[in-house]
Amino acid sequence: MFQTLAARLTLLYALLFCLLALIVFTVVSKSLEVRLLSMVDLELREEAEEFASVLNVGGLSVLQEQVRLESESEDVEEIFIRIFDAEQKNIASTNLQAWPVLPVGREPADQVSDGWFETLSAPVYPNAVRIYTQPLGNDYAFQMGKLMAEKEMLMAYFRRVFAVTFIAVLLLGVTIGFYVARGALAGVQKVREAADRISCGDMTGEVTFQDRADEINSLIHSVNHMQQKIKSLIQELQNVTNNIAHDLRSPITRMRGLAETSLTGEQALEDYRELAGAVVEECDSLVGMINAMLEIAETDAGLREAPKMAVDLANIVDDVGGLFSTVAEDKGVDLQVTITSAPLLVQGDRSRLQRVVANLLDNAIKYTPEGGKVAIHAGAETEYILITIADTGIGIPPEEHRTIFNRFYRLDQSRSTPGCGLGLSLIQAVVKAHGGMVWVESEVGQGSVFTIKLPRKQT
Amino acid sequence: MRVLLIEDDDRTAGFVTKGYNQAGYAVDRAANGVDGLFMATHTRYDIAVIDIMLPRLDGLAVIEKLREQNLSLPIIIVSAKKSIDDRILGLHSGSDDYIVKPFAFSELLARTQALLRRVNQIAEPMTLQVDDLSMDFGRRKVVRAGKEINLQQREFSLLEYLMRNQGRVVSKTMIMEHVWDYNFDPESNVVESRICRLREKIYLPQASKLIHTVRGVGYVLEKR
Repeated sequence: MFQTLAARLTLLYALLFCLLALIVFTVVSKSLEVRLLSMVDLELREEAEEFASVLNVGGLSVLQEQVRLESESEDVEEIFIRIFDAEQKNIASTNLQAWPVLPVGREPADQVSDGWFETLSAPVYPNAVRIYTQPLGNDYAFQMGKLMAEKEMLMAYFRRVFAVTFIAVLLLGVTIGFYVARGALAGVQKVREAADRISCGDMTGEVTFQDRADEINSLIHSVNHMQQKIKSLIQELQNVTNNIAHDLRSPITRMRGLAETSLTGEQALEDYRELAGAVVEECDSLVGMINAMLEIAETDAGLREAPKMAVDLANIVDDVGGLFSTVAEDKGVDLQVTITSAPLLVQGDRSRLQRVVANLLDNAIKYTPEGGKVAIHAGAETEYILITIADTGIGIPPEEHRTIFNRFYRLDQSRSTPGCGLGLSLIQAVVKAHGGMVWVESEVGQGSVFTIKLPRKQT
Repeated sequence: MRVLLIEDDDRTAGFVTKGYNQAGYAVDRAANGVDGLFMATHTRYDIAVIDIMLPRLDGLAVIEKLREQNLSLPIIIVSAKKSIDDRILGLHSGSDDYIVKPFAFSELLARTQALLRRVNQIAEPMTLQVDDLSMDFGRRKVVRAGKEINLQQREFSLLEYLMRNQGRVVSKTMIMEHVWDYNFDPESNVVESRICRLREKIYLPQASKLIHTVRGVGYVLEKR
């Protein structure tokens, strides 16, 4: 229960609320106390001024009379008044029966014209006593004390009200907060259910829940997106599996057929040689296919971290051009190699980049009829290196410009040409692993232009 | 030359043994790591070919134990594992070369011979002669029947590779690797067309054509 996010959030907010309430309480009670004390002090000071004026007008005897009057009128258990003479002797006072503990004389000894306050706490009094002493001229001093019952009652009342309010707000806040938090996280619950469903392999439907919070909505969006991605990956996997099955089955069927016909009846020795040679060729192409698949998978998964070495693409293009020159010549295809600047440095794996360029050129020559032209061009922009391979071959319909990079994808017309349909997806995987892009522009019957764009090595 | 072959698969062992025998090597075979280790320590072999996945004691352990006993016998690892890490692990264990299954026997043979030459410090000859064709590698001269033939640089390298492997079949992959420094074989028959050019250049009427195609396997230079 306390492991849930809603409970944790509620607890956290409750703690935070308590802390803030404590601070508010301290500040309010302190200022209240100061205010109440100053009210008591004001009362005492006003009383003292009254007595001072009595002394000034009527003299000592009237003052003493006044004290006696006070003694009768006021509640002597709550207030006491004393008059001292110059020798600190008590010359007049209210009834002091209820005041067994009192400060002696008129402290401090030095003559000051201003009065002073002191607070006396003793076990015999129910409340603290506020005492004000005021010198009256040079000969006398007036002292008045008062139990601060009212002030303490107010403070206690304040504390009680505060405590009740505090507990009420806390309980209410925790309950409401908990339900609000749980409500806000309802979207998370929906997403969790969807994730459970997906992990059980159910890819139908998506999360349609709409939350008020943008965070939850974007989470829902991500989950839906993920589900779609998984779906398309599964679809692709199925296609690949089907294609693999097909592409593996054909050479195996050919080998099996050849071997079978060789076994039925006597053959010339030359025929057996022919059979063995054909089997070796088929096997080599199968191994090549398996290796290419593994390499694509590894490159895609980032398992084959490309060695980060400076590779000169100008050199590679030149080499590959030279390598294919005789093949192009044999086929009657005009091969042109142009390199606008050298070196063209990129960071990466030489042998795999070599393979990319060679595969593209290989394809271009393969799909270009006799008398056609293939041009490979390498050049640099400020941040990129571009290699284009243009041919005057059969071309690729626009709707297939993207799909040709899929594994085992082959154009219908090219099914009869040898090859496994992995070349372009390997090219794409390697180029992507090098942080680059590969794309095609093509028109059916006119030819195709493949472009590789790779980030230039910064010097 | 005696070869120790430690390989658990009977058929693989069969064709490797047959191939070595045809090339004039004697082969002893062990079907598991323990037997292989015993044979390697008790008999003198010129070279060992060891599979990694072996029953009882795996190939890497066999090699480590051999090296612990200070046996400097040259070793080629044969393994179905292709990744670079596995290769490095294999070479670190003390082997001298590494070949990945499925392999072409011609490649295993070429590697065996190269390794033996290296270990026995046999210098590559500077001139070679097959029938009436002679090559001088230092002066980069090719002469057939007394007539000098002009070859481009790659053609010279190709002919040199075939000459140095005379009588042995070299695969297209091996040619791509050694002559063009490519570790793959393009779908178009690049090697075939180069070989054709080379044949034309060294062509002599009424003489052996010297460079022969072995269907499915590769090419061999020899007088037939």
